[in-house]
Amino acid sequence: MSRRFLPGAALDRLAARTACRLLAWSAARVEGNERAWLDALAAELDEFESGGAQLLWAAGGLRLVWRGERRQLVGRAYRFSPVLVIVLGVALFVWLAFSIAQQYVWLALGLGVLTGIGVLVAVPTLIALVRACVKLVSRWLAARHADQQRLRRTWSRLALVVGSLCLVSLVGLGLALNGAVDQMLAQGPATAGVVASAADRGAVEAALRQLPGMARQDVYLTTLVKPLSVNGMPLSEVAPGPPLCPPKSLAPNCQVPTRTLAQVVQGIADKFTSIQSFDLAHGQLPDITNFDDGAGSNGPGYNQIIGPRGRRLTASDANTYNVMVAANCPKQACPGYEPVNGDLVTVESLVTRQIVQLRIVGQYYVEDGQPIPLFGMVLADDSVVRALTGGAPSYAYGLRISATQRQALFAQLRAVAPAAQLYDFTRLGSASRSVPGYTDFTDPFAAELAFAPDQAGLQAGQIGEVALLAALLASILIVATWEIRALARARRTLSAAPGT
Amino acid sequence: MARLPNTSPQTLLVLEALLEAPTAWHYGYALSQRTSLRSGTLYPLLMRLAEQGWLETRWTEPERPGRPPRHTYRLTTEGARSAAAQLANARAERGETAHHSRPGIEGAGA
Repeated sequence: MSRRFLPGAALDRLAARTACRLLAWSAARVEGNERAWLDALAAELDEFESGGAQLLWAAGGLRLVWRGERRQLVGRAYRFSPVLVIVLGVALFVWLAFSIAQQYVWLALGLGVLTGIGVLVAVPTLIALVRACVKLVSRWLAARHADQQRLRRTWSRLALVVGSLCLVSLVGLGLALNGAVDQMLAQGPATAGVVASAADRGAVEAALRQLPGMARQDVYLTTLVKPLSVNGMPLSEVAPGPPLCPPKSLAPNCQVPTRTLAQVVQGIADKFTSIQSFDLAHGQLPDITNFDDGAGSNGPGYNQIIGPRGRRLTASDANTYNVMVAANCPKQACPGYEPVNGDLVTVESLVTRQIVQLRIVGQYYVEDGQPIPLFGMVLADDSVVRALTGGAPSYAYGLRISATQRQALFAQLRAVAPAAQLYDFTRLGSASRSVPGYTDFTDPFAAELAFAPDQAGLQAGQIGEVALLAALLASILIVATWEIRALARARRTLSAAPGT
Repeated sequence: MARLPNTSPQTLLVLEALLEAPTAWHYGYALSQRTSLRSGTLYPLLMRLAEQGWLETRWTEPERPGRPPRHTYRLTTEGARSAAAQLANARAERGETAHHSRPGIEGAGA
């Protein structure tokens, strides 16, 4: 005799079985008082005749599971620790991002794109890792017959695993990123500069020799001068008069810059105040890109500046007073004045009071706000600086070194050559402010004084970063200790529980 | 403003059902049938009333072999007094009309 298949009866049996499984599932997730009440609920199941009604009744057990979970969430201090780990991870990430963006502004965009691509790869990888970790932990607990609720709370374990993985990943990523950035910088333009007097030259070069792994070192001569005239005209006559507005009836909204004539003259003088020289006779040439004489860049060197007008210096300019000057004024300090190739600029040395006449043969362009590794606004042959300084010039060192090397070098130089000027070209703010000629440097003493606050700021910043990192590490250690202790307590409870 | 404890309509329904036979032991199934509350609502209410001392509980031996022991409930003396006061307050606030509009409770189970 064949049995008739009744869909309604099959569904009813399925619902009844599901109700039983649901109750078993719920019972495995509650303990203590909730467990007793769930048993009470389950004991009533047989009162219902249909499987559907049993399933509806059993579903009420989920409320008891949730009630137990909610009770566990309240008043357990250690429950906050996984959240704290995640918060610390996020804080560490923000700190790393901020630190990198602050130090390497010109790399920020590239890093942002790389980070975006990295996230696309990292997120699926992280999810896979987390799932694998959770599965491993679950299997370990199952193997140990762990039925204590504390160990079974999936969210707690998940948060702990995710938080720990995030911390490890971020620390690793941060270290790797720092290394990558240092490597990139070591292959690019100069990352640091040192200007030392002839008296400090020996100490500086000794310190540089002790610095291992330096990618590149360029040495220039440099000095400061006072510009007297252009083509025989005093600077006050070279500068255009202050701009004027038409009558208000014609242009009621006209606004003129508030610079005084003295400020404009100072801006023009800044173009010529500092001189950086090259050993042109031996092939050390200003490295200029996009020069419109068709010559292009100077081969394997790094590009410092862009040359839009005239010609660049060559070996034929050795032992002449031919110079290149900036075509534009930094920060628009000298509006209305544009050098003309062939102009004769008379300058007076601040060291020896020697007066020489420089001839402009080419102009380069400095993009305002860019960290250009220059030590002087006027580019000339070494003979110019030697003539102005009486054979005792200042020495400028353009260095391609990592951030770690830079910190070590600067610390050593502050000890052995405290008068040396130290430049960090990776910091946009300090580079723009401290390159000679960009600001109102008028004599060597002013230059030294102007740089002093930078040194103090750098030290304070380093101390702050170290303090922040130490605080983060200490917090991570504390949280890790909490977690380990909590797990150890849970394990002891588990071991002491009867039947385990 | 925070609500007073045990004044929700569902709680009042359960208290009313229990007060119909204050000295009798009630089953959860029977209370559910009388109050039309689902188990997910009823049992958390019973838990809370028991934790507050309004309700006493006990396990009873199964009436039929092969069945599990059943949990039963009844109001404590203090619980019965408090429940009666709560119901009186609720009725005073809502009026007897509201009371008659609710599902009737015919006796107590068990």
